[in-house]
Amino acid sequence: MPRSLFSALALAALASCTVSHSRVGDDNRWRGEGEFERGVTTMGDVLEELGPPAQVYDFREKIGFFYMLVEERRRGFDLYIFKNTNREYLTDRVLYMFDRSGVLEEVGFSRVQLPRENVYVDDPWHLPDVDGAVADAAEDSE
Amino acid sequence: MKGLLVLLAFGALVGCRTVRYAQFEAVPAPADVVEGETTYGEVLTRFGAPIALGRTTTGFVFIYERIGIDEQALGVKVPDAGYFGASEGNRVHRSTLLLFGGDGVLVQALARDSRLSTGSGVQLATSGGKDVLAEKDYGAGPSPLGWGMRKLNALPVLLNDRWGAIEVGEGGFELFDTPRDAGQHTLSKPLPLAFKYFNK
Repeated sequence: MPRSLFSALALAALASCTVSHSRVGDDNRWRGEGEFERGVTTMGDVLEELGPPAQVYDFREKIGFFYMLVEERRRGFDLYIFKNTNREYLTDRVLYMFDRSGVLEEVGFSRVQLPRENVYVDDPWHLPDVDGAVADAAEDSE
Repeated sequence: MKGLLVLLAFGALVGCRTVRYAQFEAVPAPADVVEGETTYGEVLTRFGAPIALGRTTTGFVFIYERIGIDEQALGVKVPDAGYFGASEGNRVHRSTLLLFGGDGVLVQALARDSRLSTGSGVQLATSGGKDVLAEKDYGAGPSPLGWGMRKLNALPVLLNDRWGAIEVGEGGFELFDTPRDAGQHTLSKPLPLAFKYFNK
C-alpha cells in the first residue's frame, strides 16, 4: 500500500464532524396564515388557537402572553488534536399584549423566524438559513 | 529513539479547540425612539418581541440582548488525570437594549454595546479544561422555557435564579450575560471537588 494512501486513511480515521440541532418549546403556529386582530381578538381566542403560553405577565394595566420556540444549532469539526465548534441559540418569539378586559392590544414578533414545519426530517444534515439571524458569532466579537 | 517516542506521546496529548457561540439575534439600534412619545405598540412593531420582560415601578421593561463568544483554547490532556488547559484570545461581545415602558408609552431607552474579555490562564482543571473557557460562564443561556425543570435545582441555585421562579419578572430582572458564579450567585456555585471529598 502506498505510504501516502496509508497516511490519508489514518488521517481520515481521526477526523469527524458534527451537525446537530434541537428544538424546545411551542410549535410556532403564530407564524401561520391567520392573524389575530387588534381590538377584536380576545385572550380566549389566542389560547384556543395557540394553547397555553410559555409565560404570562401581569403588568397591572396590561397582560402579556409570551410564546417561544428555541432552536440550538451546532456545527463542528474534530481532527483529534483540533476541534472547532460553532453554536447558535435562536429563539422564535411572539408577545401578545392585552388590556385588562382581555382584548388584544398589541403584538410583537421576533426578527428570527424559524421554519414552521420540521424541515430536518427529510434532510437532517442540512441546517437551513434562518430569517433574521446573524450567521456568524464572529461578526459580533471582531 | 526513546526520546522521539516520548515526544510523540506528548504531542498526541496536545490539542486545540475553537468555539464560536451566538445567543439570540442582533439587537436593534434604538434609533427614532422618543422617550415619552413612542408607544409600546410602535416598539413591538419596530423592534419585534423582546427576549424577556420584567415588571417595574413604571410598568414594564422589554429586554433585548445578544451575546457572541469567540475563543481559542490550547491544552494538554492527560487521560484520567486532569487537563492542563491554556486559553487565550477569548472575546465575549454583548449588546443590550432595555426599553422601560409605562402607561403605554416608552419612558426610557438604555442601549449598551460592550466587549467583555476573559483573558487567559493555565491551570489543572478536572472538568475537562472548561474552567478556562468563557463558554462555561455565558454559553448556556437561561431559557424561560426551563422554569419548571429548574424548580428542581438545589436551593441555593433556585433562590438566585430569576428565571427559575414561576413569578417571572415579578422580582426585578437579570441580564442573560450575568456570570453565574459571581455576585449574589456565589452561593449557587458548585462546591469545590476537595470540599466534597474531605466532608464525606
